[in-house]
Amino acid sequence: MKRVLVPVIILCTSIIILTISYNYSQDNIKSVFLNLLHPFQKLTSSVYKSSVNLKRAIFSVRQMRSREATLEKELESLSIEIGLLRSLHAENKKLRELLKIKNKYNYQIIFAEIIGGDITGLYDSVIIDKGRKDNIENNMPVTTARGIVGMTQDVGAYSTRVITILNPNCKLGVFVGKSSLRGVMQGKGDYCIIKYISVEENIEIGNKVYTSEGGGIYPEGIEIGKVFRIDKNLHDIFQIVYVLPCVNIRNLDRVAVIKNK
Amino acid sequence: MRLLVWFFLALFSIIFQTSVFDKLEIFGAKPDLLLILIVYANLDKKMYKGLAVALIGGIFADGFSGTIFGIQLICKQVDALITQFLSRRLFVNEKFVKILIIAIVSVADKVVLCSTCILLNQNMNTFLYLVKNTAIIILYNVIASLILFRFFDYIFILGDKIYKTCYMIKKKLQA
Repeated sequence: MKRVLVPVIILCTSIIILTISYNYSQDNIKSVFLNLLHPFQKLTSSVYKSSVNLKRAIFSVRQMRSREATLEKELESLSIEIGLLRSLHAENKKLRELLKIKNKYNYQIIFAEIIGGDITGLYDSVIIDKGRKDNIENNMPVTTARGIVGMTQDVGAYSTRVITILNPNCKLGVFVGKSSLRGVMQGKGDYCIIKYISVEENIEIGNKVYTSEGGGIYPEGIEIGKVFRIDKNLHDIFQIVYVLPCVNIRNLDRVAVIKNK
Repeated sequence: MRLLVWFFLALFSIIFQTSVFDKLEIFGAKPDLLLILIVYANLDKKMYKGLAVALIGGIFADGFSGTIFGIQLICKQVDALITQFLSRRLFVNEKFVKILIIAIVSVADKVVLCSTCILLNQNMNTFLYLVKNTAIIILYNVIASLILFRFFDYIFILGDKIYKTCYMIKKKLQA
């Protein structure tokens, strides 16, 4: 009797916990866990990363030298480009002042390192080493130089969970290519799909997809990926556009969180 | 004393699972350290201990996953109960049986997780998750369990030795 009763009680308790947390916000519970385990996770992650880097350094000294030379050249050209962009920025600022246009974009970039992933594999998310102490809040866009990664969700004091664009819970407004066709993109595990684009609109495979300002989270014009498949049925109102992200989300080391000042 | 060792083993399983094992992904699959630990804890038919480890592990897993708090708790409890059920009916000292239990529990864990997500109307890749890498995950868990079971054995032998030494020292000091 006891053998049956104990598991039944424990299972019922688990179901009650699930029901309670389903109906209430879990931000506080999740952030407590993030805070508690942040130091351990940071330590293991940095030990793992340094061992991998050490192994790489030992086996690729020659490659690194040649890479250093190319990177130096790249750095030089980028410095020149930055100089030009600065002068353009200054000119832009002056013109805006003359025309009395308020600056729409005023962002602060917070760089973060990825220290963990999701344990289930079902929920596409990563944990970064920046949190509330670094002015990170919920629903902030997360990106890399190549393109958008996702947005912040559970914010702890020193670490934050980021849900990626591959997560079905992550929906964002996008536009496709130069035609600026707007739709809503949703994650599908290994790729994303764009809904609510009329079948009459002409989209081609290889078209680039960018973030749109519609959702109020992402700044406009950040690259997301490329169209690799289109499902068009003439009897339907909308077509489904399949997008492959340009960022390899499962293999990231560093990201940048964009904060709107 | 032993429960404390289980607590820390569950904690370190989660830490390693989310940091180091996250990088050891093959075809989108990675070994489930916590599941292996729960199976290991439930193989010796001690129900309370097994369920307590599943409870601790489930709470940690829930805290660390992006899903609703409680889903992993149910999954891990079911894993523990399945292991208990199988270990009472099979001869668990055989390596093959242990492997079989790991494989069955790996599938059960996935099925329970996906069904709970569907029941709660969670917008997730449940079908993809269930079908995509099941075979690889089973294989990965089985290989990892062969190493980890030995490691856990070693940890408990070492723990017992330390406990006995401390006890002896305490007795000597009292004398």
